[in-house]
Amino acid sequence: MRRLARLAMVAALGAISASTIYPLVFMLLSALKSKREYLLNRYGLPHEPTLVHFANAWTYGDMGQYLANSAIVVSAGVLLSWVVCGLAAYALSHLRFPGRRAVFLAILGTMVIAPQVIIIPLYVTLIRCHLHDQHSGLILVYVTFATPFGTYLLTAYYRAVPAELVEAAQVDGASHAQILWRIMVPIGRPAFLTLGIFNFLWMWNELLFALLILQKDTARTLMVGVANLRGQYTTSIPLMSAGLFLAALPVLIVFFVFQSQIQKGMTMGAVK
Amino acid sequence: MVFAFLFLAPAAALLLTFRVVPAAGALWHSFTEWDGVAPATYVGGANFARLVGDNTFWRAVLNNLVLVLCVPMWLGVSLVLALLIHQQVPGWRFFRATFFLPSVLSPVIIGTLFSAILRRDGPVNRGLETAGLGALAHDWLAEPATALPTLVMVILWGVFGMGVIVFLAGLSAVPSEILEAARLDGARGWTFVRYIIVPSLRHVIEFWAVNLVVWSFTSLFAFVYVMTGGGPGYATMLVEYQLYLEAFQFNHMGYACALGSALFLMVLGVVLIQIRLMTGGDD
Repeated sequence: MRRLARLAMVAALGAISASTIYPLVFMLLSALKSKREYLLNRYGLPHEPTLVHFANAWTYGDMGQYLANSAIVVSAGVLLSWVVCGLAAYALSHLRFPGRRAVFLAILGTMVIAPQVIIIPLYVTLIRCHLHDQHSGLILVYVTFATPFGTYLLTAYYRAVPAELVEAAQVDGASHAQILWRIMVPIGRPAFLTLGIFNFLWMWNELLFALLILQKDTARTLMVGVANLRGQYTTSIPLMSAGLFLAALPVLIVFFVFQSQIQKGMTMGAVK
Repeated sequence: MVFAFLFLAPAAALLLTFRVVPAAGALWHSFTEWDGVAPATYVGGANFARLVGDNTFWRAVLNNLVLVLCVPMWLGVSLVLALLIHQQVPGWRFFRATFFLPSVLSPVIIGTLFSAILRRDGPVNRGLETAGLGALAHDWLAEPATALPTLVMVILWGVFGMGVIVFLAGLSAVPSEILEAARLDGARGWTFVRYIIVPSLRHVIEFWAVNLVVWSFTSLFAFVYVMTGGGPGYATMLVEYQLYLEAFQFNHMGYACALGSALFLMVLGVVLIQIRLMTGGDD
């Protein structure tokens, strides 16, 4: 009886696993079928696999251009976020100044302002600064919205660094820049990695800001490209699937390589 | 002191320029009529009066509340699965990895993929027909009765794995003696969950519940954008999506800002709880 229950449980978990994998398998299999084969054989393995949809998505769907745009925005966003949050976290964890806790709470407190709430004035601000339709505008907005969590994460990590270590370095005549670069960054490596992956994922996947800030077709990111081309794609599921697969590939690679770091990042704040 | 100021300056400058000042602008424009081009004209509380009588808005609020009511389900599914994986059932590593897989995908990709899968001629309906349940086949996202429940299920698909990971992290922090002692005392099934697991994980459950509530108000734009556009009719209209339509389809910037202010008030309390949980009430 107990063994039977256990078997049923594993079967149920297996079914849920299948439900998470199947959509991706459907996507890949559809992408490999010719339009004609898809109509005749929707759910089976492709008999005559073809890469033509990938090529079409890449050239006619402009996926290559969008991919390059996303890569620029996301890599700059991740780098800048490291710098901005790393500096702020150092001040908040190891420098003494009045109102330190208030500043920390104020930075976290900006989380009450959701993107949708400010999207219109933000858009106007970007136009005034000549930053709309520019990758730099989207990058700055991404870094801004990544700052509260990033500062929180790095501050939590830096606090574990003994104050004596920092003071000893200061006595030895190390500047703040040296302490940051020689002590904080090496010790904080796991936290920086977690933050970087986390930012990569949400910046890569984000739609609303990218959709509104980059309206020029040549500047668009991959998610906007996928979302906007959807209308044309619906006539051809194989082409749509190929486009989706290309768009998902980078995050899938990151998923397979950095699984444990991603999980760590997502649970920060949940378990203290 | 000078260095602290210098190191905090980039973060502060960004947050002020691109988050705090625009928030003040949004509040001000809530009281104006504005097309985004010509200067805004002050109209007092007219936008809010219009809001109160706007059926689309109330429908969106209602839909948002339906999503909030689904939070216990999203939470419960993750918690049960985390408990099973935590007991290291055969294949638990594989289950953990596959459950987490959807969490890294963009809502754009999830939504587009499911639009194809849930179509009238898609694999879900085909599966039902093969199983002799053809009568249950629907155009899931295009029929008013099924659109919102289907959206809820797609979101569940996208988010449950993250919950599993959060609860697993929580469970690994519970001393194993407590769990074993409870088992030895004969605590099983529901009793075990209700009296041992839930109290031990209280903090984590609160954290995740609050996250999901905030999320259901402010992070579903992309799902609605690619899957339903708020329709059919207003069946899947959410406040954040109505705001987008008013602002960027109809150029009612003032009214959209008022919608934003309403949305802000809806999530304010929950986000404050979120921050409190993150900082643990201490420092």
